[in-house]
Amino acid sequence: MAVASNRPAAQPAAVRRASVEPAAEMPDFNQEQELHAYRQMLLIRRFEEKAGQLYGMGLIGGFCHLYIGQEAVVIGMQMAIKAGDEVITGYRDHGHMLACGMDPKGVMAELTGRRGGYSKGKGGSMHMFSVEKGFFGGHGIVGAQVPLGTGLAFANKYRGNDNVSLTYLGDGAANQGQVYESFNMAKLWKLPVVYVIENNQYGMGTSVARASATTNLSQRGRSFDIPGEQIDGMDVRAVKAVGDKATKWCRDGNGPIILEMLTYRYRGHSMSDTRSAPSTIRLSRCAAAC
Amino acid sequence: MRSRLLKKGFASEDALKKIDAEVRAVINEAAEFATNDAEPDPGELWANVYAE
Repeated sequence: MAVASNRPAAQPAAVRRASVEPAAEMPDFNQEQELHAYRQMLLIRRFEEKAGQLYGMGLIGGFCHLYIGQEAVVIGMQMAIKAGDEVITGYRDHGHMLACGMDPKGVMAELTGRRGGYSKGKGGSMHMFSVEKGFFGGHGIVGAQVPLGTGLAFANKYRGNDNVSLTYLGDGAANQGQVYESFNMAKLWKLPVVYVIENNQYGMGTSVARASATTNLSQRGRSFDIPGEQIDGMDVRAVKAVGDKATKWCRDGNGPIILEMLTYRYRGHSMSDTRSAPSTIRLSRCAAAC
Repeated sequence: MRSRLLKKGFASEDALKKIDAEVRAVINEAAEFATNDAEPDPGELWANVYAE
């Protein structure tokens, strides 16, 4: 067994992409969808870039985790859900908030700690909520949102509506105990929850290969008989297509489903992590997704 | 994604530039607001921390 070195395992983008089977029928976007997705993804990208700038200028303090590179995941999923569905995620949440339709002014003002922010300036990057827009946070503890998202699904089932809970988590969170407790309950009670595992290949600085005994995270629900699929999270069309399938699965009363989105963040884990993705990866991902 | 939009003729270069400009305007407005808005009133420091 190799002694763990300090270098994260290199994952050539070409190899990773080849291992994902493209969906047999992946409907292309029409003009309206393309333009919508483009605008929404661009909004997130520019917002995150600006947040990075403001942080550098000292206007944002504390933690700040940027979503740059992963925009296709949240926008693709957002295009697959309806009003009434709920979204919950961890701390890399600015993208999710914008996708839910929350006001960029309110989000940014929360980052800078002003009273016009969503949490009156008292919460910061990781602690924003909008019940009105169906966004339930914003959570600092890794994997904390998974039991909560499962609970949202429980409430929906209890109320007999057809809403779905989109519970996002990362590759690092996928090794947390409470995630599996949630999986068990979700399957046992057939809760309408879609677990979206955003696998950006690194939990902080540790590569998935070094942290996880099994790296095909889409199969993490197998012990509970929860179906899972692995998707190219850099292609917004692929994300929406599988999002449509998954939400239908839940609304039809089949219980939970796991979607593993293979994605990549172009910047470091947070603002304290100054590494960024090698330009070769960035360029090849952009080229491949076009 | 941009090149896909252009290639399929869904949007002209100008139309895309317009979207870019609109998005930039929204973000700049947000940044302005975030920079100039007042900080919470100091009286809020203890709000909701202890039961009344």
